[in-house]
This record gives sequence, structure tokens and C-alpha cells, in this order.
Amino acid sequence: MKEDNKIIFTGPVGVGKTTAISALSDIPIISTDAQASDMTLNRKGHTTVAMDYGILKLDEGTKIHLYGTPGQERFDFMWDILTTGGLGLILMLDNTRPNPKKDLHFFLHAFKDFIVNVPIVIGVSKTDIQAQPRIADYASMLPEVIADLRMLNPIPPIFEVDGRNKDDVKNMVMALLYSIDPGIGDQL
Amino acid sequence: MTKNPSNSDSIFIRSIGMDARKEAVFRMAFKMFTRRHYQLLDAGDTQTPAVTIIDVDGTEGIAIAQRLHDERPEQRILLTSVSPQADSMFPVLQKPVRMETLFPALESLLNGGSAPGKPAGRSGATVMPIRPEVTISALSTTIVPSPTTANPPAPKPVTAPTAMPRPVPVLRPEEIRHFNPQAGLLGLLQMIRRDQSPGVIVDDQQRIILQLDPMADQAILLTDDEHLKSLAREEHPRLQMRAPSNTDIPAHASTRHLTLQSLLWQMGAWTADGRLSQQLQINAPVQLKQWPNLTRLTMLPDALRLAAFLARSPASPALTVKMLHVEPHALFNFLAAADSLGLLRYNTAENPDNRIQPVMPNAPTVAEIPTAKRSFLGRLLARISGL
Repeated sequence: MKEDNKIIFTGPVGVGKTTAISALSDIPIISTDAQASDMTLNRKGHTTVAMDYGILKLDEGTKIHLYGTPGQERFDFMWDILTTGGLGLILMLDNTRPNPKKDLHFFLHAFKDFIVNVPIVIGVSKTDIQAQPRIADYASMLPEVIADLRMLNPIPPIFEVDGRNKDDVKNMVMALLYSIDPGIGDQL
Repeated sequence: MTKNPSNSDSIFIRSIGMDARKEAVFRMAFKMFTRRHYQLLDAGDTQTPAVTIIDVDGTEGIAIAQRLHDERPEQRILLTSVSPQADSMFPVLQKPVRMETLFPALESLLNGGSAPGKPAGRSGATVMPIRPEVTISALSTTIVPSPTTANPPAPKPVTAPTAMPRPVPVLRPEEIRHFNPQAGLLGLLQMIRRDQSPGVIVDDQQRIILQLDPMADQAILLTDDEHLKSLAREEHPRLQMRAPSNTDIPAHASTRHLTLQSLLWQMGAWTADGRLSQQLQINAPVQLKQWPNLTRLTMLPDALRLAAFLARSPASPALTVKMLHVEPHALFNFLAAADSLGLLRYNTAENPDNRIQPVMPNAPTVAEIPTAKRSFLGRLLARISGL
């Protein structure tokens, strides 16, 4: 039987979504990058204007589709389409942005209908450049940010990550899978 | 020549191509297996291994095994791989490795199967490649990066699993040992974390062991892990805490830097050493306030699963063992590590602010996962962990 499932990576421009998907994908990722022409230019020379797409194959009939959403808010109309059939959401935050708490609020609310049914994992990048807010700060601001949301996992994993570090990316996805069902790993 | 050990001897096993997490899973398996005393050698150990287990899913692949065989033809070699080759000259276990296949394979090797110098071939091998039908998850990862650049080879299929979980570990309340997390070195470290004031910890000769700055989340270590581990296990080590000064650390001193969080996490696990904190009860619920930052902490066995389970809803240690089939000592170490960072909620008379919180009334219900989906998730987990 053919099975297709999705894992969605989201977050602001330049956070490392494309790199994270590259770390998992069995194919060279299809990335619709273009020369940045707006405020994005300040953060990176190229940016994803449609989406990133990679594939993780389990076998010939089963693929996991890895989607990276475009970072800019003006593409948020695509997010509902992308999330249909998704296993879960990986939200990557950039600690060097001016207001990462606002980003956290924005993305959790943008995906509020999705994360009622699927778990979310939050990865905070660039903590080596900007240490604040710390992971504990994100965890303590979360109850206020999600007060009006219904989340499947209201205590989500919040990890420091580097999208270039494969182990970090793997741990985010493994945490996502265990958040769906902690019982799946009961073999050696 | 590698001797055949008797049942009472320690049987030394060397691992190659595995990260600390994978080695921890093997150590746990060896501890659970009581018929033989297997012991995984550390990097610096000089004992001759009876068997070398090699993970061949790294970039060097089978070449590592071939090289070892060329250098030491008498060495017994057992391979692990997500996609075992049918014509492997060495016996190979399909990953994720399960106890049901690991120990018979080791036993067979030790009893002369795939005799030294006569590697198992396509025919005539006494130990053939072992591919269990069940392939769900491995908790561990390999440290060898695999290429993600253009046109990597398609992955080998992950065979369909059937649900055969680990047996539920036996938890006998009368056998549970306890420790006091407020005593000893861990107690001093927790005091510094709570007070948020810098300090140094010195031994009875006034030699500095640790310098700590909780505001900056920094710890400077002036001793090695073995010494720290031995101090962690002493309930009354002769240690003192005092305020730091500029002359504490001589310029030539050999130091290591960690985050205080990492140090506390590791010390919590070392101090527990398979024991349950006195502050927790085996049948009383505990709950995670937040997930530990597991990408920047030592990955303890089953830590991701335990965090997912205990963040979802409160559960007693006894229930956690029953539901997740985790070894009690792994759970107790995880709980001690999490508690050392102040991440656990549990009901105590002394600390009413730390009480278990009721589940939010508007929280979505966690639906039971259908068997087919569990099977799929298990395969995906195995695939990710093998990357």
C-alpha cells in the first residue's frame, strides 16, 4: 500500500529550515530560492519564496514528504495547504531576531488549527550568537502565548538546535514522533 | 588468541562506529542479561575484547570490519546495520538490535560459530546474518555523518514490523534503593542553582573541584569525569562550598567548560546510579514542567521517550515502567537528572508550589494510535535514528 505523510518545517526567514530538511532528505531538496528583494535581504541573500521539498523514503511505497514553508508572512496562504496530512510541525526560531517571543506567538497562532491534532517541536537556533532568551525563558513564556490555543502537546519539546547539525535535526524529528506516541520506541 | 570465557567471567565487548547513546543502550542490555556478564569497554580500556561489535552504517561502512579482520584475524566480529548485506563475510544483526537476537548471536560467536579466521560466508557459516522480522525503533544514532549531497543512494527498505515490545521489566518495590538528592555534591550544586550566586566547590585539601556561575550558566571543571562520578556516589564527601575569588584557577590549570545545566543533569544521573530519589515515591505521580534541552545534554537511555511520556500527563514511576517498558534504573536516572534542573513536578508537603497540575480542561484528547500507524511510526523512527 502506498503511504505518504508530511513533516512540516516552519519558522522565520534564515532560521535554517532548508538546511534542516537537507539533513534528512534522500533526494537533493527542491528549493525555490530566489534573490531576496525586500527586508529579507538584511538577513540572507537568498530566500525561499515558495517552499522547500525533500523526501525521506521508508521503502518503495512509503515516503515522508518534508516541506519547508516560506518564511515571509505574505505566503501564509500556503500554509493550510501544506499542512494537510501532516504528521507534525517543527517550528524553528531564530534567537538573533529582534523579538523571538513575537515570532513564537505568530507561528503558533498561524498553525493553530494544525497543532490541535498533531504535535509540535520547537527548535531555537543561533543561541551561540545570542544566548537570550534561554530555553527556560521560552518555556515560561509559553503558557501566556498559548493561553487561547488548544495544542495536542501543550508542553512541547523546546531544544537548542543548529540546522547544520544532523543530530540536532534527527532529535527534533524523533521528539516529534515520540510526542505522537511515546510507546513506539520500546524495542532495543 | 581470544579465549572462550566461562559463564562467570566478564566478557569484554568492544564497540566501533557507535555514539554514546547507542553504547548506553548496549550497556543497558548487557546489564539486563544475567546469564553472562558482558561488559562494554570504554575508549581507554586496554582489555582484549572477546567480540567487537561494529556499526557499519557510517561512511566507512564494512571497510572498518575488513581492516580489523586483516589486522587481528582471531578477533570475533559482529556487525549491525539497517540494511544487512546478504553476502556479508561477518555475521550481522539487523538494526534496531533486539535482545532476542543480540545474545544468541554473541553466544554463537563465543561458542565457535563463525570461528575466528573463518568468517561467515554465503554458505557453510555457523552464524548467519540475523535479520529479525521485527524492526521498529532504535533510540540511538550514529556519529558518522552520511552524505546528503547530490543523488545519494536510495535507502534499503525498512522491513515491516510487527508489534513485539520489550518485556515489562520487573519492578520489585522492596528492591528499590533510594538516595538523598539534597546531600553530597549534588546537594551543593542544587544549592548554587537555587541561590543563583557564584561559588566554588573545594575538597578537604582546599583543592578546587568546580567553579560555578549560575547566572551565566557556566561551570569550570578542574577534575576528570571519573573523579566527579566517584564524588557523586558518596553521600558525605568532604567538600565545601565558598565564594569564588580571582585567584581560584591558576593560569596553567587544566580546565573544562560546561554549562551548569549540563553538569547538573549529568551529576543527577551519576548520583542516582539506578536509585530513586527520596523525594519521589514509586506510586505517586510525577510530571515534567518542560522538556529537558536534550540536544545540549548527555543523552540518557530512553530520555526522549520518557520526556514525551512525562510531559504529556502525570504518571507514577511504577506506571511509567509498565507503560514504556523502560528499565527502572534508566527511569530513576532520568528523573534524578530532570529534578536536578528543577524540571519535575511532584507533590510534597515542603514545596506546595511544585504540586502536580491538573490537565487543562480544554486540552485536546490524545487519541489511541491505531496499530497500523504505530507500525508506520516505528519504521519511521528506525529510519531517522539510522540516518
